Amino acid sequence: MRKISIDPVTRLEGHGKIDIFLNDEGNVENVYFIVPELRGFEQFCIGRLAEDMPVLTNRICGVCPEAHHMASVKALDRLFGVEPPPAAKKIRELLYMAFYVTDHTTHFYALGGPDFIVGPDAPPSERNVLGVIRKVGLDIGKEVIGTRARNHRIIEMIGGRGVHLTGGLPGGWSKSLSKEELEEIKFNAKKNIDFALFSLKIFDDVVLKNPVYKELIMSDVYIHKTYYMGTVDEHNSVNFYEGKIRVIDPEGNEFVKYDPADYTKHIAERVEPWTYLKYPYLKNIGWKGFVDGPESGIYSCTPLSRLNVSDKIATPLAQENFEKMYGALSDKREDGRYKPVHHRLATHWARLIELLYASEHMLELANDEETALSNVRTIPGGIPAGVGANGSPEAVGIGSVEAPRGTLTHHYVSDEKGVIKKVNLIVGTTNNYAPMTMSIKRAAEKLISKGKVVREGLLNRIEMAFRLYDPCLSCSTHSLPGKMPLIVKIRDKNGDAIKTIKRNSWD
Amino acid sequence: MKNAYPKLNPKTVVIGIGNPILSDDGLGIKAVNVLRSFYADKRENTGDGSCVGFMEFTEASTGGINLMEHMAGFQRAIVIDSIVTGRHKAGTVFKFIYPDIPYTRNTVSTHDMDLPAAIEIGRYLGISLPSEIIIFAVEARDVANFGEVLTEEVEAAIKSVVSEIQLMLGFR
Repeated sequence: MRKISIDPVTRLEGHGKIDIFLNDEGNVENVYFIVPELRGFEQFCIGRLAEDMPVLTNRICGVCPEAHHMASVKALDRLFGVEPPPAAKKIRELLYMAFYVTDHTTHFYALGGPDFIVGPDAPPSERNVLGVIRKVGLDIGKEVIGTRARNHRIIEMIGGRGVHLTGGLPGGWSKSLSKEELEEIKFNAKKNIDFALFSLKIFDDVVLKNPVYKELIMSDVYIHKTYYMGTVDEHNSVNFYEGKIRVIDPEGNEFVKYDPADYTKHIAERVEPWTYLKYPYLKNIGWKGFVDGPESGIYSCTPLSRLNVSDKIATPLAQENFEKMYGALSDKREDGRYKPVHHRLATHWARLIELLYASEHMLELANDEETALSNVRTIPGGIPAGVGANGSPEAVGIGSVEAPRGTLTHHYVSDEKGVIKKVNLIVGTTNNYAPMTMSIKRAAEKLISKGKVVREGLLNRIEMAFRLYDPCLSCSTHSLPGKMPLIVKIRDKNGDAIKTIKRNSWD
Repeated sequence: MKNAYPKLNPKTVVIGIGNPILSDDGLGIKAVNVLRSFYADKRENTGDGSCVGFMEFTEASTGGINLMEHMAGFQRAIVIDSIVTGRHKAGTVFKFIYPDIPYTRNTVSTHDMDLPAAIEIGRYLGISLPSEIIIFAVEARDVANFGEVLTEEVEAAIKSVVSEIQLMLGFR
């Protein structure tokens, strides 16, 4: 066997790199959070059949294939001009709730939890899920693994495959659910509710009752007063599967509510020369740089953002917890809505409330008689193509869902035979690229002053700033929070590196 | 809570990991597909399947906890992944034996942890995990462009990975 050594610097070239620029006074001027680029997806799709897109796009990312599958199949409903029957919509949504339960559970216990439950200043060797288990008990670890296992089983049962789903079709779903399957789902949804309530209790006992952690949540290091975005139903309750996109301003006023198909009227993308990823912003406010406030078009799209844009949550236990969180962190406005919570670390709390909502809604859907109906597909009659810009026949399909990491939009253009001509995707995380950059900058500002750098804890504080967004950058930077190979370069005003702080698993 | 995974049985799982539409990142998936069809034919030809029955072939798209879960209940796990060291020629094949493993491209998950941490947690929680974990990693050239085709050097390397695994599994 050959002995090899791997240089993390080589491997990290262009990956998970943060450049901090200082000004003449030695204070933070700018922060560049650079992420790698995956190229050629549109080119890869052009010429393929539209109906292949749900199984193709769910391979973009191994972390949330379910979200891509759902956004894609919803785009196809529109492209083919078909309305899925009620059972199909509910089956899709049911699967999507199971996905949310696994995703939010994993994030909280593996990534968010360690900072709070074990402590932000605990040594990295303890600040991990094992540290959480040691602190909270072995049973919680088994519950986390058990929750993942039972919901993965449901995803496989409904979706046809565990990883890359095949169930979604334009106009519906490929199978109906039997009585036995629905009984199994109900049984598991109840377990999910118990688990979500238990997780919120841990958050209450360990985090909220600890003044140090509470202070951390309230600390101005992690506050940004941006616009917020999320999908709501007709009652302005949070919805992961469908509805209108609602955007509120930093004061909590509704700025706009639009059909996902109109996203290009509201969202523009900023290109910066130093990174491949584009920064989406609100077109009708404009790009004012990496600043918050009502004049800046930067918005966030996270679990906290989704709750900020919602008047309420449609399930009773999640609503109770929604009231509790906003009661603790916000005030009511004159119109009865809560003001938005700007404390970014509260995103972890919001994520657990969403976990509870997903669990409760899963049970509602499994109990819903319409979910059990056997008609799960409206067969498309053809493609209602109009006339495209160059005079040739053209059909458009735009679909969106709330991915755990933000609104996910798939936009396809095909010819009259359904052959793809154009593809545009706005993936969940990119919505948060600008706020993430701001959060990193803020954390850096607190640790660097007049050229003096507090090395101790710099990396973790910076990581905490973006970990709360649960970023999935170009589906993925292959970086690892907690133990993440990360390079922070501090540069003077001429761009010369004056200090490099590295941490990686090979050290 | 009851353990959600079956008890240990004398089986080997071969796991191909990566993204099948991201050029060389898909080599793990492609290699496992070659092995799967090779042994499927074998089963048909021999009609016995005694040995063949002791192996399973599977694909995974994320590392960390998910990869650990794929290993649950097996005695031996063989993982095929791509790696970018930047220091070796594309197509170079490496063989690592747990716990002496580096970061390959997909054995870590951005959203939870690396494989050694996931295995430690799994064992701590009483999940039956393989006593032997072997990782084959192939130096990739292109992991930034979407595409279903591997670069020439990496495509050629699949053959040697496959034949080495066939030696380990028998029925070559």
